[in-house]
Amino acid sequence: MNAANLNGPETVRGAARGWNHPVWLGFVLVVVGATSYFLVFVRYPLLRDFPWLNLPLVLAGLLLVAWGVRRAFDQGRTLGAKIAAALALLFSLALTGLFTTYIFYLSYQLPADRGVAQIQTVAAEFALQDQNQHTVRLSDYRGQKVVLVFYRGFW
Amino acid sequence: MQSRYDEIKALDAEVLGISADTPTENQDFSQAAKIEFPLLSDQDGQAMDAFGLRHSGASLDGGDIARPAVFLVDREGKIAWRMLTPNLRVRVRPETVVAQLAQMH
Repeated sequence: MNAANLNGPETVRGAARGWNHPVWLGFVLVVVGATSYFLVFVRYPLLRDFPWLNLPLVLAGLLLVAWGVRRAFDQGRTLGAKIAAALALLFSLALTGLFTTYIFYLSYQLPADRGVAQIQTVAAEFALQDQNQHTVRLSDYRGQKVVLVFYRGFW
Repeated sequence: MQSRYDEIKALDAEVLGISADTPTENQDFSQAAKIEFPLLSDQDGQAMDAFGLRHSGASLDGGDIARPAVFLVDREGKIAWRMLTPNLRVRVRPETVVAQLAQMH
């Protein structure tokens, strides 16, 4: 028993059946686009400095989901299909929002440059353990040039 | 930095990587990524504070970690060059470091 199509002439079979592909394809694109930036493409400087690949993926996915939602309603699909499509859109919007907020806002939230050690000042001494548990001091390298790289471990 | 390590060594420089990871984590990472230079554990934050890099609450568990930065220290122990990135995504390129080292005596 199929739901009646309230938007137009009734067809024999009523509501459209089968997968609403744009919704699910778009949804997958949004999820893959957002997560793969952090899991995969951060290793490539050009694609990490600005998400040239991932941002278009996420936006394309979002548009696809939006189109799929409209399609679900235009085609008079079942109530369940419409709700599923709407939920997919909601989730896609949330994920897109999170991703863009990180890229354009959160990643810029850094402490002021003002407090950072200045050029032409003497570099502060420190004594830290290396990966073999030996103590390493900056003064051990006096007479050599040193590249100090402060990184954030895993991320 | 490992990708340009030979060039960096040829310029009479050493690389020191500093993060809040433990020596064991650094051991695992240095083996996996074939890192040839020391990775130092700054768990109590003495180095990040000495260089003014503390980023409060930025760690995944809510603690403090350093903002990413690179400093070049000359033979007399003075900071010759530094690079602070404008956001978390951009990293200092090894080629840039090599070019700067070549200009130092």
